[in-house]
Amino acid sequence: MQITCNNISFIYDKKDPNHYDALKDVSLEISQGEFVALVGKTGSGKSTLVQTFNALIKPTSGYTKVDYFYITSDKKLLKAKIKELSEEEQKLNKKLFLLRKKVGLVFQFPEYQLFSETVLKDVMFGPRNFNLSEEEAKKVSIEALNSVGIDESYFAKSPFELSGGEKRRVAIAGILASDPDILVLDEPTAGLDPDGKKEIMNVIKKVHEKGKTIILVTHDMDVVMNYAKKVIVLNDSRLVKVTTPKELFDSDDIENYSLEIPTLYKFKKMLIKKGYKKDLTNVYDFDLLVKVLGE
Amino acid sequence: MSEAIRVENLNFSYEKGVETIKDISFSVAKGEYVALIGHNGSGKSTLSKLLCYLLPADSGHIYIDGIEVIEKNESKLRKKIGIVFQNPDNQFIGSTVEDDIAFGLENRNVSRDKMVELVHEFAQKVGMSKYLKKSPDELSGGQKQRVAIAGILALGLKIIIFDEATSMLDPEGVEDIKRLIMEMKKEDPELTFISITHDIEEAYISDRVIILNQGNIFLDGEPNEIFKQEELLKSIGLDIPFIMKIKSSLNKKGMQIPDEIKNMEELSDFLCK
Repeated sequence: MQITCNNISFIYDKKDPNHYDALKDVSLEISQGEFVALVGKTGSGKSTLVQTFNALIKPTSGYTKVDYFYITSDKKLLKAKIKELSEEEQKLNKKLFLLRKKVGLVFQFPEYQLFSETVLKDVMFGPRNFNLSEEEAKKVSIEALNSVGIDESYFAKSPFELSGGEKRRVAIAGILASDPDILVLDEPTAGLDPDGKKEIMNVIKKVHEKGKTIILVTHDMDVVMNYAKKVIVLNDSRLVKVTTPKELFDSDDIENYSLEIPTLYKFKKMLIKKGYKKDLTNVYDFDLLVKVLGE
Repeated sequence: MSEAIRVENLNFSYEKGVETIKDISFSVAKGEYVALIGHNGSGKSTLSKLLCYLLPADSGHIYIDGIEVIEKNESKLRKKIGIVFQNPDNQFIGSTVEDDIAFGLENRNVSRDKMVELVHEFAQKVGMSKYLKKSPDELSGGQKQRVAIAGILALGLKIIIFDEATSMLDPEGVEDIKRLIMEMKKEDPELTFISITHDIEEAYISDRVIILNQGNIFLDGEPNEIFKQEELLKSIGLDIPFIMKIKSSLNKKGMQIPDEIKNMEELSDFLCK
């Protein structure tokens, strides 16, 4: 399922005399199965952008297109675009719940949104909402919980008895249970310890291996370095770069976007600048660095 | 009184039979910058809540700047110690940025003129002056977090706890806040700062590291000494700073990296010699 943003801008409150563009002329494409990190400093528009992917936010101008869904609050544009669709698609275009089933959005600190008495019931809420029978909902929910490494002994527990990392995995299972094609996660590793982080990222990696599109909004450049294949950089509400993690961290303009360079790259750059005698160009991981420096 | 915090035989359980804090004792001198690290579930956040009397201890004593942390001292304690949490959405009280920063001040009988001055000063310090009239739903997570930080810093407290308070910020934001804390510490050398963090690199630059594990103090000391204990830290699932990791790996390869090399700058100089 393809995501396309065509020249989208977004203003939160046009009536506000101090209004500003939370997004400005952003165009991008993400194909099915990609693993994308969306980075940029606080307030650069990252969270706003991903919310257009399932129409929680509709661009003020331009459009986001996900599969055959056009998302925009520009009515003229919407009308014109919808006309290009097949008759069947035109009918479905209004049914946003279909879109929301396809694009699963995991917000920041999703564990604060758990609310049912038991873990299993919490995960079942989504599929039940998408009209699955009790039995079917249970089946897909159990599968989703298993896929995030939460076993049966947890199903009857209250979500509030779980640790932070476990809660977050349950929250992710709640989204996975609806079997989205695209999984968007906003800061999935924030506030977790190194083990919790690894667990979450392994879960996400496995979901990706099943062919789902993963879009991560993150400040954690170690996560970007170790997992993402493509990086999209936003700065001051504009898209400034689409690249790979390696290229981004090796580049000189990374600091302009207030992005943290992973420590390994920082050290590598420092050595190159100081005229280190061996070639470090292709050193991208810790073990290789130690090997080259230690020989 | 040179102690900012004194904790004696502190115990706490959320649930009977499951001890979250087990007989902890330690003290923090005025002006110290302490990094409190450990797993999720190690008791860090619980300890910070006990220090601020957001939770009552089961047994033991806590003194904040000499004042015992008990119910009747609560209003006195609020003038001494404050905490910023990690999730900004749980902390935004005002309907606008300026209201939110002013909230704590209003509760402290600060005059209106002074309040306006402080709100502007701290909004500026955290880089939020442009947003004074904005409502929380127009702000990003990181921006809300800056506002929460400004609200606590404006109170002029002597002891400040950050419970993962910068985990939602981008690196520039983290740097801004670090710089601000350092400036405030320079202005007031007695300002005590406790940072609960998973950021090992941040812990490495603090004055002192306290590691909690299963409700106990596991290690307590200078960062450079603490992070030498690689195997011990690994055994409880903690990482060590990059510089320590690369030094120990290179030493294992038979290189001799002098012990006094403490940061990447010095190590790269040494390697390029």
